[in-house]
Amino acid sequence: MAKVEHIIEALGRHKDPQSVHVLKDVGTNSSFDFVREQTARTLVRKNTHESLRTMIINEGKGINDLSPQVSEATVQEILELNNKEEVLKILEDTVKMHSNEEIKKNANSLQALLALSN
Amino acid sequence: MSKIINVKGLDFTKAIKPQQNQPQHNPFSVSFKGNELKADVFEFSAKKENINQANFVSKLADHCVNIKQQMLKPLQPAISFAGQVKQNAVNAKNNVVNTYNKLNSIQLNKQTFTAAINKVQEFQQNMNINKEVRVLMNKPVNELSDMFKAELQGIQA
Repeated sequence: MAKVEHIIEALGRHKDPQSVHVLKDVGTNSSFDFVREQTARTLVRKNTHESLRTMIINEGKGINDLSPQVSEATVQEILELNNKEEVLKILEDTVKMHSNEEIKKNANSLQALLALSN
Repeated sequence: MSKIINVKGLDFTKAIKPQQNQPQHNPFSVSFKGNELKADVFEFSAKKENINQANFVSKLADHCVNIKQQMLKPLQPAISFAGQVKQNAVNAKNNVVNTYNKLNSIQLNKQTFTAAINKVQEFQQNMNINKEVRVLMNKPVNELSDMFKAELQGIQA
């Protein structure tokens, strides 16, 4: 039987775009913090529009997760990205247009953090 | 000179004496102390010297050749080694030239180069991946999704 960590990593490295949907539907909705944390890290490392969008604008996922462990791990992974072009674009759109004030606030904080880190 | 003739058991010897010291009467000959001087008596001493000198020169030349061969004999391995080194150098030069020509004949465009670099990077990344993950990466996403769900249910139970 394969370990959960190995399955998440395999999905993260998989070339099929459907792997993002599996991580989004199964991994980020898990009741286990360690599964959500690893899924969030994997989705950020994918660095695609779809995976980053899930981590930034969805309520209760990624940087908006209720578990500080998961949200901090997501922020840390975003800060470690080599190419931050896509994440900055999504954050800008989220700050400008998102209807949820809490999500807007989190996106704004992350944007400021990224600006400081550069 | 004598000849022995045997005829029906009878032996008799008929000796034929050679005519020795019979002077040949040559009207133009010159005599010295009663003996007729022949033409070959008058040999030039210079001719003999020339012959002796020629023999000496040829012997000297042979000797020199022998000395040269004897001197070169111990150096033969070194000479053959030097020959091999020279041959190797020529081969190396030819190889370099051939490689250069081959490289010149290959047309590298940016796309091919980028693809090759990506392949190498992908290979290096795969080398660092866990073996189990590599096996799972080759499976279809649907199968991985089912495995993921089953594993989470197993943890909950």
